[in-house]
Amino acid sequence: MDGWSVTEYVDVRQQARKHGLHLTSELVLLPRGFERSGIELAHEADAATVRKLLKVAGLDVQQLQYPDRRLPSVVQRSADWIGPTLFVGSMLLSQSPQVTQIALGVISSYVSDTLKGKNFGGSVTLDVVIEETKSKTYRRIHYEGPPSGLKDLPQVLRELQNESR
Amino acid sequence: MTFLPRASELQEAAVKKIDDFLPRLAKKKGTYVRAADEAGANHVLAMELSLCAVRAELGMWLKVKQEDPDGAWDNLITAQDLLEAAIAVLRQTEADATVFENLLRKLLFVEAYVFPPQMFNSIGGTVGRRECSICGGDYEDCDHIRGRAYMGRVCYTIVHELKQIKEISLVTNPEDKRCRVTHVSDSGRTRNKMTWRIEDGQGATEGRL
Repeated sequence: MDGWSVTEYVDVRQQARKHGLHLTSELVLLPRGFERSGIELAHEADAATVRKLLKVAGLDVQQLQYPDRRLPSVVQRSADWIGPTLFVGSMLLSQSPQVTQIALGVISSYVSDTLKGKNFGGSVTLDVVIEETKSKTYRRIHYEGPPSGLKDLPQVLRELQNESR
Repeated sequence: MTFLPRASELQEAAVKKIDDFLPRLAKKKGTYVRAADEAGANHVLAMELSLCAVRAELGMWLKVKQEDPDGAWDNLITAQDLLEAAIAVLRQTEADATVFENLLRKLLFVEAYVFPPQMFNSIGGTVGRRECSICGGDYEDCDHIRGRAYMGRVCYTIVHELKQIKEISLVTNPEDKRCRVTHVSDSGRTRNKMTWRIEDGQGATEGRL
């Protein structure tokens, strides 16, 4: 499948603690710069929009924020769409795999509608980080390409889960 | 009327006709809003947006004929933006947007084949607070979705508290095509990127952000 790449990712729970952030959900929107230290974190421009859309779809989603202040938002004056990094915890992946599929369907539909009017050539960037309990590893699935390619993500996730079994 | 060779006085009359019709549409939208008929209000909004797009396209051809390519470009981009918004509203109401999509395609062809290639600017940075255009509250806290229509109004965010500008880039696919390099340096002289005229009164490289 084109446009996808899979790489190792930092321990999300440990990294959150390092940043002074608290995970309260198994479906979390991570800010830009999360995997690094000593960098100012900021949510992608449409992180709040994605959170609202997922809530409307009935999903329990958390947009990471400091306990005492709100993270700034990125402004990027490009017609391409850069989505927030979506972290899916191992419990959610194993017990309710359909939630990831719903979440990706919601994001895909919003992005398609948003970019359809634009210039018929806008590209999408989306990262999904999954937690694998058995191997205690975190993997990032990175997508960059047309919105239509997002539909392949559930299959990529299934293949990764099968690999780790 | 939206063709270059059409008579300017007829195109100006068409612009006036649209200007005269828009208040009637606004009134009609008001009746839908008072009746809490969101679908009706949003349909009228799509009509308003598309009519304003046609007005901007007429303005573009008039400016081309007046040898004002910068003004013509701004009108072209305004027309594209309005059609994009109209398409988004129609898709939300599950109405057929094919006609508007074809109009937008035409304007993208005009951009590619009537105007010379442009270089665009893009700003990257962070902001602390964004206001929702629908409710006036913090966009992080309200339920409105950017780009969606609510009771005949499109939701957008108004940036407050600009925290940091991190980059100014040259990009091929900007959010706003009005942000472009307008002049370039050419052998120590200043050239208008649209007309290709030497305009030494201008700065060596100028642009709009």
